[in-house]
Amino acid sequence: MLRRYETIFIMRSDLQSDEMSSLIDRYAGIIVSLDGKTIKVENWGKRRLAYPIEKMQDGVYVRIDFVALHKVVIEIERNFKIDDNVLRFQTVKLSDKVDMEEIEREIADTLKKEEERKKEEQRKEEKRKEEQEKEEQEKEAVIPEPVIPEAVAEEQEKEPVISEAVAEEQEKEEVIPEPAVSEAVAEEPDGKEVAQETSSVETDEKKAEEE
Amino acid sequence: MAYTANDRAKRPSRPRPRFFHKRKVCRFCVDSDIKIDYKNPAILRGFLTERGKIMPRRITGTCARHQRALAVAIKRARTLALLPYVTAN
Repeated sequence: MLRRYETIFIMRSDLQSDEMSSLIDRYAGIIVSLDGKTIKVENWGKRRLAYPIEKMQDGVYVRIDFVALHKVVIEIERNFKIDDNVLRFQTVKLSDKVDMEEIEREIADTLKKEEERKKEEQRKEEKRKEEQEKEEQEKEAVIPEPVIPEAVAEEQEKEPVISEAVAEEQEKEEVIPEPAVSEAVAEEPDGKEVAQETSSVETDEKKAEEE
Repeated sequence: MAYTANDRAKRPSRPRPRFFHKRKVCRFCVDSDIKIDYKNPAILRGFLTERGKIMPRRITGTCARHQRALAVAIKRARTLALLPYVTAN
């Protein structure tokens, strides 16, 4: 009696990608060779294990959804036990009764979805390429502008003028705080000395800057 | 009517609920969108203690039926190393 199962197995993550795909094909092939039908083969990719298995911290998860007789499950699990590249496996029965028509429909759906996914990926890649080309074009457009260094030179010429203006401002600033100090003197004779000291320090610093 | 010390002594010794006790509801009964699935450790993780133990029903408020399904799902996820058996400090 046909039943629907789902098997998840964990491969070692240090395998080459072609070894991984050949392993997946092998196990899917076992199901097909024993008159089963694979509905979906999902590769979840590399995942961190919640606890180390055989001293491995990561594993590649693969899920196979299939319809088959129970002897297929026995056969596939026997192979998993032998294979050193498989860290862990688990088969769960999804349903006892199987409607072949529905399953055919599901297979068709998954195939369609995969095709759509591939198409979308292709579109995305094309978009990426276009964007890259655009960026390159923009870069090329930016490079031939020799105007910038001249502008920079002009700015450099202007700069000393600005610094002079700043010096003038600094002189003004020096002038302004003095009445404030005198007010402080009038109110607090103790704070006078401190205020004068600070102001003298400031003036010294500014002189140093000017020099 | 005022209670005196005498009245209180006569009252049958039935424990009154001292604290206001919010009724917990099974999360899976309320929201049928959440499915208990051993392949989805993100949902199951909420029903584990920090140590990785399965939380009791009296804390999470899960109904008996869903607690059973949860326990099975968590145990399946554990064998696939999607969830931990124990979490060391």
